Amino acid sequence: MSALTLELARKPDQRLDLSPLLPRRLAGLKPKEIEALQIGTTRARLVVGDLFKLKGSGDGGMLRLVGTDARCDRIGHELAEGEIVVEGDVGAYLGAAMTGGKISISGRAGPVAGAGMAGGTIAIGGDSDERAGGILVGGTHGMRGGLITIGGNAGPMLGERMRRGLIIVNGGASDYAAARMIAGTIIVKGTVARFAGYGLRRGTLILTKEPKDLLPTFGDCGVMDFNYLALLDRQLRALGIDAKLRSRARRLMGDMATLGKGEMLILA
Amino acid sequence: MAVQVKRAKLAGDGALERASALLGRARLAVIGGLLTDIAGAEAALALAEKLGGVIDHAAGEGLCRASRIMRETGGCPASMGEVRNRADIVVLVGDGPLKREPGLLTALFPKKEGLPRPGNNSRGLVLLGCGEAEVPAHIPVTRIGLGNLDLATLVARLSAAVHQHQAQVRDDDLATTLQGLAERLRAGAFPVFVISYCDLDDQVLRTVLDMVRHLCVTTRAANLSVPAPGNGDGVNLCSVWTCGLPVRTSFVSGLPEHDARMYGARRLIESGEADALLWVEALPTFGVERPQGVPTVVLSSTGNGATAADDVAIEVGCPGVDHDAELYLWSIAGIGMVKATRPNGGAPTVAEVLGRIAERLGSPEARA
Repeated sequence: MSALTLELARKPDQRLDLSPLLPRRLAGLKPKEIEALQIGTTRARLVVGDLFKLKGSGDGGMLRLVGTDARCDRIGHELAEGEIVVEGDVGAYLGAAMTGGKISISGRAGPVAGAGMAGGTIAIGGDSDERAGGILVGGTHGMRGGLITIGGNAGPMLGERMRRGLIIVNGGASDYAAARMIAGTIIVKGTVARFAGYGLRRGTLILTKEPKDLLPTFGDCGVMDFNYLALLDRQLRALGIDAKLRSRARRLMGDMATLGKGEMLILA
Repeated sequence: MAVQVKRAKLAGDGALERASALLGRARLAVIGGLLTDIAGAEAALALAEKLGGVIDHAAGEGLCRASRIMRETGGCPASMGEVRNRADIVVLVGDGPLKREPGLLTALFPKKEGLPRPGNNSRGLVLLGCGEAEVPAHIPVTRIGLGNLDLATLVARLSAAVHQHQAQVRDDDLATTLQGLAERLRAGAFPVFVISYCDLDDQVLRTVLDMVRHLCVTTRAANLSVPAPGNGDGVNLCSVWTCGLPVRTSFVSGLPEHDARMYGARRLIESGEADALLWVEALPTFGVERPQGVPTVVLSSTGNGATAADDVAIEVGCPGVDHDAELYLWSIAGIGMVKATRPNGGAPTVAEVLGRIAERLGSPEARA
């Protein structure tokens, strides 16, 4: 598949709003038209051609962004179809409000990656900053569908107020993972910091290691077998994700400080 | 060379021209601090729109936390007068309320009996995770310390008790105490939680407000938030009624855009994304330090001025001291006029100085 490639030629002196760079939108544009797209966030006018070198064509529905850094915001914002491959770090709002398609980045992601997303897949190679899968400015709920995988560690308030979908963290998660989550599933393979599941209403937080500080507002239901963990593991394998979920887990119900219908499963 | 302009020397010394030139040539100017009155805030918003800049308040973090929580989940706020006259159980959450309002307890619990209250319960104060606060002798008080817990866990345990959900009992005494408080709250005619948005974690605040909502199913309950320092609530309200959004709003695109995370003044300066700062500290600074590292125009009532070669400092009057001012008054939960305590005709107001900087922005000198 051919891909339109935009390579960052120099470090930007301001944050960039890269939300206009969607594969479908760029597919119908000539190189000069792409270079004229506004991406600046200050009074100094800035267009794609000022910072990026263009190669290839976008007719195949794929966009490659090369050499990006933490000031490159809103990549894949409202993405509905197509694929964006990023070689580098990214800034805030990666894949925010996306409804379909696929985004993969090799580096780390800034705050609120996948905020308010309803569908599609985000694969983050490195760490993610605070509130991945969380709430967009002006919104009331977090992620509403889709899949986020995080290769490194997740920042605070992972999946805040999440309503549906799946988040898998290969590393650990910082404070308040799954805070006020309404539904959906979060899997953390590393260690979680303080207040995991704080305000959890429904939904499932799956941990492979017992947290050092378990909230006392979770009720211990003992160790039992869950067939759906095996089903989930099989589904993840089909997606190329080896989560190594075993069906036996210790179940804790909570958070009793609120509705108390969520669960924390600690794999046995 | 830095320019310092003292009182009554504003006209004709070139400081306004230098200030407008410094801000006018900026790629992204930030108007921060905003420790000023309503007129000063209005002038700052007009200037930010003209500059295509960003506005923030020194207490912007707490103000935006309050705005975000009210926007996302709402609350049941009560006014100071309502709580003083009608609440039967008042729970102070954390150290924040007393740190921000040292006279809070005597204001909430006057010795003289107030208006008729709902219910027959006697009034009482609960200090939840408040440390060793001094309480006047006439106020019946229950102290629930943190012990070896943190405030987030203590609040969560109380909330579980209020919801009548079973929690893991790890400390029998504390469990009994929290159970007793939860029963008092459920039996109360008007229990009120006093919180400080500037001092509590986002998630702890939401748990407190969730408790209030749960109590409201069977009784009346509310939350009372102590005001942000430096007329923060006044400036925030002014921002909302002027452009529709709270502080931490950018006017770069011509339309206001709010983002509590990205438009914090300190973050913008420290990251190098902003290249000019207009810092307003006409009211006391409550310990907040001005961000350093970019050319700055300082409007100060205390003589804190230029620190770098290309800074401009202009001395202004202190609202409510040197000149009459509209400020947010907690006692009336709204904006009120405060008469000057020692009127000084020599010091310009923040609004006057910002207005005159804005006038000069279009001039050739400012564009140079």
